Amino acid sequence: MNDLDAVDRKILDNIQSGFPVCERPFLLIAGKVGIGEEELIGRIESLKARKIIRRFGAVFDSRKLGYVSTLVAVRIPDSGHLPAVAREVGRFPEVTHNYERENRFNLWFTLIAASQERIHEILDRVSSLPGVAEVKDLPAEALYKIKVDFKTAGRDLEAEEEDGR
Amino acid sequence: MAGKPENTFTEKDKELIRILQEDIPLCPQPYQEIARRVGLEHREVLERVGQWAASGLVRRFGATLYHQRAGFKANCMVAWQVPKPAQSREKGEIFSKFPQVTHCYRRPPFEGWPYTLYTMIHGSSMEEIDGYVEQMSRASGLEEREKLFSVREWKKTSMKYFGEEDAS
Repeated sequence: MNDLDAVDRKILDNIQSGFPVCERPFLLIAGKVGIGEEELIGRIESLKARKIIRRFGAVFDSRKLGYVSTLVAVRIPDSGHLPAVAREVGRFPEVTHNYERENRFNLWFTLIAASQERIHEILDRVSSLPGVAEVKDLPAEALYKIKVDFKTAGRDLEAEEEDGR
Repeated sequence: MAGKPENTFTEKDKELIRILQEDIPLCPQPYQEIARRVGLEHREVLERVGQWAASGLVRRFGATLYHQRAGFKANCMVAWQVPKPAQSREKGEIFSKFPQVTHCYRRPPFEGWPYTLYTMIHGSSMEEIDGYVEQMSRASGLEEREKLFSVREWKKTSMKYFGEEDAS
């Protein structure tokens, strides 16, 4: 983030949430940043090309779209099996995050699927993979926080905000 | 938290959602360009997207950054035991006040695993995160927990709704 100038930082602080829904959204943001619309668009293109911005779009509420989400804990006692299991798990498009963690439950992944039946189907398939001893389905029962906005001016923070993570 | 659609989505809605969740066009009138691709009027796209943003169907709209580049070296999921389940919300709210905590959920316990409150903590090192965990323990009065440091990231993507292979 060192190659960002003050204008870039100001842009990042103004485009991480609440992107305007109007005829000329970039013109509105350009006014806040204090540059022209054309320069703003050019700088956003550059921030994407320089791999500072990963994606510029909408994050949807999976539940309101009718999707079901959960967190899954997997215990693989012989860690030699873990890479193959992790790769198989990652093949499902419904798996959004998949982390190896320091615990007897050593693989944790989040799942967002079109139905509960699909979740069961995926969990059954993961349970049958070689080396898998236990698979625990841990759907969220309550949500207390999802952090959505990160300032670049101070400490740089960024996190995903997928349901079920 | 089982999914229940608030409304049903037309094919045009799904097409619109597919485009919005990718990268929106970087041009002076991006919704006009999207309208052209979907086959809707500019005004119709503004109305639908405006409604979705207002109703919370769109939870966040804007740029997502690469977080490794933003100075994060470590992430740790900590699962806490809450001896009195009725205090779950109160404890969750205490944890949520920590800026280093990006996610906080309550999840079911299971045999041999009494932990129910899950916090995702970000920091620049394991040592720094250990410090936050201690502070969170003191602030909440909760002691029993499992620290789940990430050893390796095998996959991290954004969910793509209404994809091609999606039967729904």
